[in-house]
Amino acid sequence: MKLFRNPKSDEEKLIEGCIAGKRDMQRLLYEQYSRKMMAVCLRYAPTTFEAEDILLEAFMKVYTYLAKFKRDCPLEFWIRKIVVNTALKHLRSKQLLTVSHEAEEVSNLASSDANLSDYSMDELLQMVQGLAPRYRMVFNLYAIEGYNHKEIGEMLDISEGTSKSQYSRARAILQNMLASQENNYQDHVISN
Amino acid sequence: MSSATNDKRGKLEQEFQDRMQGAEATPSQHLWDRIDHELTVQENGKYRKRALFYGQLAAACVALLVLVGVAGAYYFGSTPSAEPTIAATSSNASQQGETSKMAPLPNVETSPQTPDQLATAARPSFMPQEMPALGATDAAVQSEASQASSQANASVGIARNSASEGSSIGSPVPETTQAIAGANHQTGSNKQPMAVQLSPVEKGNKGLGFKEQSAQAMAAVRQQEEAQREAALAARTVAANTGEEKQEQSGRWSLAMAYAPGYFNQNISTPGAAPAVASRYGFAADINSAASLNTLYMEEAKEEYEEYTGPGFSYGVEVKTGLRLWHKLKLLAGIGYLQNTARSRSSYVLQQAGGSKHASAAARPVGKATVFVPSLSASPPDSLMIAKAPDYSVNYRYRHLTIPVGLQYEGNLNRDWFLYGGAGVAANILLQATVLASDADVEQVAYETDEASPFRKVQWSGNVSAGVGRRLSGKVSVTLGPEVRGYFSTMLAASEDRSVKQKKPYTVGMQMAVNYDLRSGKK
Repeated sequence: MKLFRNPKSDEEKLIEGCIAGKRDMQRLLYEQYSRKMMAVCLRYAPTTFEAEDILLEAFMKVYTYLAKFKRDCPLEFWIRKIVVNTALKHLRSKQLLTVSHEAEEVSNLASSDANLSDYSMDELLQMVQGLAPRYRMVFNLYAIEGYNHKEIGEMLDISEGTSKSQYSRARAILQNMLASQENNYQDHVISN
Repeated sequence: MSSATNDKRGKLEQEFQDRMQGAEATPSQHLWDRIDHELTVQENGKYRKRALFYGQLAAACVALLVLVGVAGAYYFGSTPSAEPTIAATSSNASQQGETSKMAPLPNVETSPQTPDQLATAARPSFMPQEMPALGATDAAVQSEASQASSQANASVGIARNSASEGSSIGSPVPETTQAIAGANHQTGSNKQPMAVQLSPVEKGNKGLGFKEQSAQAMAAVRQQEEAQREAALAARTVAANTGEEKQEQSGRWSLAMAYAPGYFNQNISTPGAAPAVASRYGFAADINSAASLNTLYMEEAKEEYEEYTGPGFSYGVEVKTGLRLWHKLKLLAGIGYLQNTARSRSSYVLQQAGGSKHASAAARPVGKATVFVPSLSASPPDSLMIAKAPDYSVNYRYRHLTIPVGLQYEGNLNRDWFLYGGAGVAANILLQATVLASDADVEQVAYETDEASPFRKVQWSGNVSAGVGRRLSGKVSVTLGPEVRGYFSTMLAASEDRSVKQKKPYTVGMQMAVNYDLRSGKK
């Protein structure tokens, strides 16, 4: 028989407060995770406004389903998953996940990986946002979220092979973007 | 989130992940205000939903109360005022009474009759054979008196009035019955066209109301389906990460029809063999006297009852409305019909000489009738003659209107099968208690719901059942399991005769039910 209970963690108190519908706790949860989740939304949504719409919808789901959170993973991980799925649903509803022929533009794929440390966060984000929606999704899910192609296929309702080919095209486009950025930079340095 | 098979990650992926995984971006300051507003709207919706739920619960309770009230009013309001007798309550006798009640009216209407005939017609229906002398005389005198005016006017209508007046002396209640019967008879030919004229109007009104209601219901259902779709998507979102959590979505309201056959034990016994003759009358008593022979036969009849009476077949049919109170807990309430029987044998019949509790109004002996043996008092009145007869089977049959209320819990075994357990109470309103005899020469006895009946008018019972169920579709499921029903009181009301031993009756049987969800649900 336990004589003493373990003191509740701050996160546990936060969760319980949100489940109880305490507005201050809900606000606290929002403040704690909104910035990270906004960055996630920005990677998926084509515009900041849409990213905010996705974030709002995702947080509403978080508050609604928090009581079903089983605590078998970190809360941030769980919230991120909801945000990603909300973004996918949002883009699907806007029929942005159609296959584009952007890959045809990619003629000479860069063979080597570029060094990203020279690029700012905004520049990288702009590159990702510059991809066609379908490629952007696959790239985000594979390269950043860490899903494999089978999982991505299930999430986007496409085959594993399609996911792979779309990813390779997205990757090639990004490499071209990086290469052209590199060339521009070098031209700028030489001209100076 | 990441997969073990994700093994072809190059430097580009790694660098993007490192840079962007932990990235932060500040949303606009108004975003929280929007979320706050959405949360407020959602909470209001929850309150509204909760209010709707309690409203529905209150409506169900009110409906149940109204149902009980109507049943009670029907039950207690229809008690006849005439003092019943075994002869009057026996079905054969009552049928004869019915015939004699209805016969005079057409005669009065169709043909002028002699004063004597009309006086006979004016006699109240149930009185001619069994009514006490005073009542019969009064009725005859009254009808004769009124007959004078009817003769003078030679009017059928007045003759009818005289008949009513005649009966009113004997008993006020049958007057009303007869008057109504007469009125119905007169307007009988007009009834049909009136109903035909009214029905289209009613139908039209009902049709409009229903159309509007169904349009509203459809809109509500569509809205709910939309919400459910969104909830399902969100649930899938969560489930993909934290494991699939199936949430059964089924309607809050459901209908159930149950049939429960079983065995019924009425648990009534007599004190058994009593040294009746010797102790009651002593050695000096004249054992051959009619009274002592009567007593002897009665004791033997009770012994027979003790020996042969056993449980009989019982069945109940119920229609219930279910209201899901919580996740898997259902409140069930409805109405039903319950018939319990007990079996016995007898070789004694009752012949009535008048003046007793059971044959108070009988002026002459009636035919052989069976009787509910335990209800007989220890010292039989002189009016009751008990006689030997060939063996015959006896069935004690009790018909109840039942109003059940209960709770049922359902736990899933798998997708299709589930276990259930339920408990509830029911008000069982006695409609009729009949003692049926297999011998055609022996009249059955039907105890109507009047004061002379020894049975309780309302008996409360509790029932417990458990079993398995199977979902046949998203809306339809069937259940099967044993059920035990115990009554909280004895069958007989406070018996004047202390010698009757009785315990609380019970039923053991099976319950099978079909449930229908009123709203669509996922299987």
